[in-house]
Amino acid sequence: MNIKTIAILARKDLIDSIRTPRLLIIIITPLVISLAIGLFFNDNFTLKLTLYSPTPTQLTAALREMEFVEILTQDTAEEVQLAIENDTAKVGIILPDNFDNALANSEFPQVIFLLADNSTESRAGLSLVQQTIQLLSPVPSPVTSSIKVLQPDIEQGISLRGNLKMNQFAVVMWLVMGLVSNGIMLVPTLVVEEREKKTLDALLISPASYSDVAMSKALVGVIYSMASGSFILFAQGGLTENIMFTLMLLLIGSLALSFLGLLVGSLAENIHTLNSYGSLLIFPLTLPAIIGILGPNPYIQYLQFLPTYHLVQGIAFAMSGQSESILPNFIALVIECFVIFCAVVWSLKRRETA
Amino acid sequence: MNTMISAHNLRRDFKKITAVRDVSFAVDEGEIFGFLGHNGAGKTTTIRMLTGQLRPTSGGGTIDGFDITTEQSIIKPLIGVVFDSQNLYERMTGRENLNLFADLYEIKRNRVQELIELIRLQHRGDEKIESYSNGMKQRVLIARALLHNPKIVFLDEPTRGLDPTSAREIRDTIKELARTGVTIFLTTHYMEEADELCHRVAFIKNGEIVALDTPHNLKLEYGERRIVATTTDHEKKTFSLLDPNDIQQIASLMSNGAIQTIHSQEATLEDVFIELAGQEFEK
Repeated sequence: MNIKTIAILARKDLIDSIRTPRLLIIIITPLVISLAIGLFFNDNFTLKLTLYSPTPTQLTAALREMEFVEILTQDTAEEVQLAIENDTAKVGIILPDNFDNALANSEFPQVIFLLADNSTESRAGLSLVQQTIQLLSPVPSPVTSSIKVLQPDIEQGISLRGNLKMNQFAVVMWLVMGLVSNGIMLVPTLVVEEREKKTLDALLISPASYSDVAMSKALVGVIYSMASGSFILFAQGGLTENIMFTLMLLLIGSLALSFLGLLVGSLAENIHTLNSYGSLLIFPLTLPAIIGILGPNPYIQYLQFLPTYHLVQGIAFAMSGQSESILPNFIALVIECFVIFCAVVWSLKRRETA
Repeated sequence: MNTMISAHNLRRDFKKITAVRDVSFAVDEGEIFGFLGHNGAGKTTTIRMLTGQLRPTSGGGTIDGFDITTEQSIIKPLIGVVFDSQNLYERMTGRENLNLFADLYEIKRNRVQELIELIRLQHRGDEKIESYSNGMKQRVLIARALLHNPKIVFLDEPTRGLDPTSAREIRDTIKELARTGVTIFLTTHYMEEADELCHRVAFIKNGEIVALDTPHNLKLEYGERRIVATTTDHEKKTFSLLDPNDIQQIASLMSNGAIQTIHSQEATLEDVFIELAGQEFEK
């Protein structure tokens, strides 16, 4: 492989991609959609609580002061359970008579908490209410808690979101979708076009080798992925925590996906078969991002073999400042990238000795 | 004279089909060598093997003495190829196409300008290829093949689909190249073109060379010598000079004063091919 030749060919493709409407659409679609994130995903995460108290309580006002909490008061304890069963709220609070007095007198009143399930959202809601009660009392653990989970089978599951809010994770989702579309659509299209239009024959007669041509396409994929990724992060305020880690994950992720794109390009005979292969691959590759935005899910663990799984989780952790959780994802992504690279080298050698 | 291209029992199989079968020939420096045959006869496969795009199944060859399978990197700068398809980057300009290859060959940009002037594209050089006519595209392809001053140029159907003026210009360029010592390996469907340009031609049929010689010798060997006579009844008759009955008949007509005009008719390369392959070439 010759670095200078790769650079010459990549420069040609960088310009040619922008001049080709179909390729330009592949490049700019994630950018345009990411700009619309603000419209689709406002920071409107709300924790829905429902409360029954036979007597007025300051807890209601204290919880209402929080921006992301929506509290529904009920007339009976049964109505609290019903609201949770109807999915109107995630956490129900049933207070005893004269709760405020009992709390002020450190009588450790009995509070019943009803949780919809064992999800992170329900558990976070419980924790929030308990902390708010604590703020109203001078003594530690001021209430006697009774916790009932209505659907205990729904486990917490694995979360790819980390501590990110929905709108923040949407940035990660579009980031990964941009990388996937550049890697799985742009890179193989460049390869297949060279073959279909027979310009590849002309390149192979010149000092360029097939490996040079292939690597130049991967480089174009990486450059556009990094450019669009950086743009999305910058425009959506994603460059706040662990910037270096985020960019490194982007780089390794775009390399892995571009190499995967080269493999797809070597298999596809023409643009039509490429579109079929591409469609088949894009769905599973974007699945971690799509499922991730919906919150914890026990089945997401089965997607760990995908490079995008570790990419999504790594970037989410990097953006939420959970540095200690980034490294395992980074290492897994590097290993997957290396495995795909080995497959590309094998395919190139096979092609050059054909 | 140096042998610039040689093939020794060159063979290429594609699964169960043998596209080229034990092809052997040698082309000298400055020679225009024609490689003629039907579609699918094995012309392009032979070029692809000689230019290193395809590995031979068996046999081998050399380009300027270098092995076509093991010395590809040495061979690449020595050859230029004009492909049978107009494989240019359509969304790039003519100049950009040539600049790209000049960069790959590490050639200075003034050579590009020189070639643009040679192919008379000074006024259209900065327009996109997609706006060019077939003739203009073909001229750019030739310029691309000549960028690095190759010793050998492979031309695969260089005039196919061109109007007579463009085809004439391309043929003049080929003659000019040969005059400067460049070795030309030419495939064409046009027998008149091969006759006009080539010092020697090889006919390939079903992957095998069935005849190889100068056009003149081939016509003598395989063509039928004939004369065409117009009688006083305004009837045109063709007589074979090899057929005793025909000779007797023409003698009789002449003695009776029944001949108005008489012309000798030489065999053409097309006749040779029909003799060898039994089918007419497309015209």
